[in-house]
Amino acid sequence: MEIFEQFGFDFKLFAAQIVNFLVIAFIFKKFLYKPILTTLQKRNDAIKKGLKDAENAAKALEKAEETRDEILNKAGKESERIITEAKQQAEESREKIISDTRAEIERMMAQTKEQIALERDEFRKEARDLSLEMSKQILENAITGLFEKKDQEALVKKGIQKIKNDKQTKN
Amino acid sequence: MINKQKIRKLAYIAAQEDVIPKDIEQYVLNYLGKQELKAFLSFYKNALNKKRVYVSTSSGISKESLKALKDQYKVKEIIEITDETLGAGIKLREDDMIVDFTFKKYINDTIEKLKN
Repeated sequence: MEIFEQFGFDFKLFAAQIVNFLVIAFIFKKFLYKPILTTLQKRNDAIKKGLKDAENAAKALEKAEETRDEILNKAGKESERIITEAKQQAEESREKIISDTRAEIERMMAQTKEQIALERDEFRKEARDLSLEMSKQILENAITGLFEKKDQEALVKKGIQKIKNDKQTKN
Repeated sequence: MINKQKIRKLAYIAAQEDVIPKDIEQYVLNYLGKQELKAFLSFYKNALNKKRVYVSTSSGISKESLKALKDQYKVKEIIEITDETLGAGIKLREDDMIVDFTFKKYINDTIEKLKN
């Protein structure tokens, strides 16, 4: 104990300093340490949340990129399919149009041939009738004075005989 | 006004003579209207056609042939018509019946056959 006194160690002061320390420690713990700890915890949480959000955002971005690629891929395939189908349809339509046009041309040609044949027959008939009519006119003009008197009389007699026979047949 | 039956009878009587009797002629001209006169002429023509036979030849008909025809149509009057365009043969019209044995008819028939 003396040694402590020789070095100027005062127990009372020491105890008072301990009490002071404890009081100050209590006050610090009560009013400073907890709020600082809470603030730190909050900040820590905020950082963690930020990191997690960033991670989520990166994942979402990655997923979005995947989805985009998938959509683009699908769209590419769909567009290829549409183009192929459209080409196929266009080819079919073209072939159908060509086929229909050919059929129509053939039909028109057949119709035209038929029409020409009809008109040719009609023309032939008209030409024949005209020539016959002209022949008739010529013959009618030519028969005047063509027969001798005795021939005419003979034909008249023949005619009268026919009339007689007809009448007898009717009676 | 005189009815059609009487006009027909009048036309028939008038047609029995070679020419229309004077009294009928006077009556028709003085008393018949336009339509009645038309009807009278139509009936008169029909009555004449019933009592006549029209014979057409190209150069007249011989006495022999005429006699043959008169024997054939005893009660009817034979009217001769000369038509050179007939060529030859005989054409006979009795009322609404026509018998045609002419060369012209033969030509026409032949042409028609050729047309068809």
